Amino acid sequence: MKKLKKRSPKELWYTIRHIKDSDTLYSYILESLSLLLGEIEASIFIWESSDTILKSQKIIRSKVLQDGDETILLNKNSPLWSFSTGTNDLYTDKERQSTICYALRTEGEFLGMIRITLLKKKKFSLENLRNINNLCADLSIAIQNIHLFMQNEKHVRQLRASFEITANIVQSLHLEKLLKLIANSIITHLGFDRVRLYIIDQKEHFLRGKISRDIRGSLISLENEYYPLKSGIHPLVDHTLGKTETSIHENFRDIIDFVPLKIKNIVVGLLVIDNIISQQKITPDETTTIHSFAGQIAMAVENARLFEKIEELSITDSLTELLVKRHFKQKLKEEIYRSKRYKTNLAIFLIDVDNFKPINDTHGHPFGDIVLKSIADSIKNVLRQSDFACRYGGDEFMICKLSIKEENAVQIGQRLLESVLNTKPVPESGSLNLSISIGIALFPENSDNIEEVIKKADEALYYAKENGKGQICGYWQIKNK
Amino acid sequence: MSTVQLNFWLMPIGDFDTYNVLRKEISNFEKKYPKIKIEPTIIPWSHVWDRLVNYHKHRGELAPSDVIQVGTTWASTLSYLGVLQKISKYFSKDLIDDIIPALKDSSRSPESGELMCMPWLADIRMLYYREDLLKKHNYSKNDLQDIESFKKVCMSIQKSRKSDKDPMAYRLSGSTETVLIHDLAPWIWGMGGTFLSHDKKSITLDSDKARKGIHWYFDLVNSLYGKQHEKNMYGIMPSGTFFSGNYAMEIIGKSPLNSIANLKHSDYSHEVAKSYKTTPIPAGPNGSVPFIGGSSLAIPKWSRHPEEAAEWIRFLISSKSQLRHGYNIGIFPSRVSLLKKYFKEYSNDYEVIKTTLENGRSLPNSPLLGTLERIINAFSDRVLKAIKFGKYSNKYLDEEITQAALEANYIFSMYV
Repeated sequence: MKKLKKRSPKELWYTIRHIKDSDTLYSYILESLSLLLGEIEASIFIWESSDTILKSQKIIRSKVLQDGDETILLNKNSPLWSFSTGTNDLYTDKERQSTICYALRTEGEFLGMIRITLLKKKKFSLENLRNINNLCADLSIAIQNIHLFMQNEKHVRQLRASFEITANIVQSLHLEKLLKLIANSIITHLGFDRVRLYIIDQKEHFLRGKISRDIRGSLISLENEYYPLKSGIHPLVDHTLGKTETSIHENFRDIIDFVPLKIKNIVVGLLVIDNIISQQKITPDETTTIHSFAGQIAMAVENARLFEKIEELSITDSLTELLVKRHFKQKLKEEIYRSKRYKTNLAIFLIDVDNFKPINDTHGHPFGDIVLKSIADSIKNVLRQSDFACRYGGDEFMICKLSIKEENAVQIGQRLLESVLNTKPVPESGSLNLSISIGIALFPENSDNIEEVIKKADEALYYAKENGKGQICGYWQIKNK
Repeated sequence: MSTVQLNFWLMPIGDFDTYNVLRKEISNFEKKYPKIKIEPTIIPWSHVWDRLVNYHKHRGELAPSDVIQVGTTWASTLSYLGVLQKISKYFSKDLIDDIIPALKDSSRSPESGELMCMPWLADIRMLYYREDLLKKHNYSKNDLQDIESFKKVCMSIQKSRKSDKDPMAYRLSGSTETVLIHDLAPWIWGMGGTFLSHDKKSITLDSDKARKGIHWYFDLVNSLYGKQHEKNMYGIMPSGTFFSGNYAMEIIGKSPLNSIANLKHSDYSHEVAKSYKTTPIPAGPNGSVPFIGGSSLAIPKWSRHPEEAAEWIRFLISSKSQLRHGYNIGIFPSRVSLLKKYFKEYSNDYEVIKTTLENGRSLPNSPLLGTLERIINAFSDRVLKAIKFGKYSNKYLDEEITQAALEANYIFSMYV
């Protein structure tokens, strides 16, 4: 525990000026009073004009500091009422002269008071009253400064939160990623216990859960939560439809808030924030902030959905000019039907670029795109008229080759490996280590279910990656390992 | 090793005595571990929750605490929020085994079951009564064993009061005029009811058994204090405490060593000191099921010195330190072996504590306990107000229970 030393008036003023939080300020002032006056009980109260109460912040008794827990209601009959009207600054109990109350004020504005009781003496000396007067004047200025500092800090925090959340909202056009970014930034910057996002499925008239993020950092998919859009089914739906049974919700309005996401009065989803676990009140400022983002979030969600729709409708990937996954799978279905009917076979090649992330990180995303385009060109070179390929994911590709045997499949894979190596683009600086890994599985040899064949190609690709990358692996080569 | 300063956030467990008692503990500890310095901050109960959660969410400018005192009913919520570190690795199995089982139950993570804090001070509820007053009405300890005869004794003493100076029959527990979740718990449990379903996913507050317990308790309160608005505009309970001789009976969770048994204490009353006795909480059809709570010590996630923090906790939970707290501020130790010692030396009835420990229960370990507490507190406030203004009836209470259960289910539907 700290040992306190006497403080000179100069040291006091210098220290008080540099304290940036009220807790430290009140402790310092009360300790200083205790050093000055000996055995005392003293409390610092702050005025809350809206409720006309003085609320104690800190108390010292026989050199022991504690947070205050006392509230004094001021009304016209109260002996301290004159403090609030500005007509008096010092109150002494006529019967107990060992207690005084001193108003804290700057430029006429009432800020609070100090109440001091001498525990071992009966009366304050004139010199002590002078010293208390000076200390209260210093304290009043410091309280005002800290108040302004805190307000400023709060505004800066709110601006930062607004900036970060807005920046995240425009960062992605992919719905899933966008929702994650929104949920993360709301929790990080506004500090709620939890945020949940629900989106309306317009086709099926469902409210679908998307994502939940909580203060512990848990990101949980809410995909298993879906409710028909009919009032009375679930409170979440009622809030989305604006048909809430408010009597119960009213009691919890300060710990849970439902924010419908609307564009031009059309609801596209629901944002739910809550402090149910921590029981902390959601402040009006926080409510305003989160409601002000609702429109932006709704717009971003709608944009992402439109983007996904457009992507879905297109046949080829704009960067590689290979098929998009959806269209590839459609064609594959047709080929499977044909293969079954005419008793032919086909091979699925699953291709993954080795260490693609470091390429992007080192040479930048535009160069990463050039690499993907170059690999796609190599793929096109090994396709026959009847074969087809797609961009399967970010840096994954898939080829379907018809009527092919195991050894031919490996040979084609080998040609593709070499082609990728020989035609790799040259970066502006440094060198590029480029290789791909390939997993192959055959239909119907490895499975007569096409989803299973894709899964087996994936297992073969995994094996190729695990065993050194830059190589080809057929599922038939690992199935017995 | 350079000197380490441990910031210790605690609550005023013995009002302003807290500091003096703690000062001695700190001094003893710092003598034993000269490289560790303890810097205590005493925070009122009403502020500490906000301070902990705010610090967890926003950090801010306060120096981080290394050891914190938390109410046992908060441990599950704080653990769920990620405020607390796992703690069992710092303590021996023997020490953990010695902790009162009900306290250990409430100190675990509701998800993993890991111990997240070490119970420090115990709140063990027993019925304290004035043997002399009971004798005057021809009653004895035997008449306090079940809830029906207990109610009869209450009514009899209350009716015989000739003036306001005569002791009241029974005082609601707690320093303020409220009925809290743990005040209702023994009667709900005693009737065989519970607060939550076995899987802790739904509310059982409105089940028949729980309703019976709630009815029984509020009927007692209504019989003793009903229609008080004409006599006392501020509340229904006259001032005073059992320890200062204003009541014949009270359910309390701390020892009278620091009040009636201490000549120097402002609450000391010779009459009460001479004839106070304890007995287990009156039994319902499901037996006597007292509430056991208290407060624990935890190492927050943000602690900079967890090893040293554990050393300080070990010291505070040591036999000597726990017993000193018991003797000085009247709060029971959290270890079974120490309670035995404490009661054998200082209490008139060791068997009472033994039975209480065997049957005692903590509140359900759920992260939503805080919300449930809030709902029950608001419900109880409404019922107490109705009692005060003469609007209380069976129908009224039933409707209020249904409403409280609806509210709780609404919140649970949002989380479970």
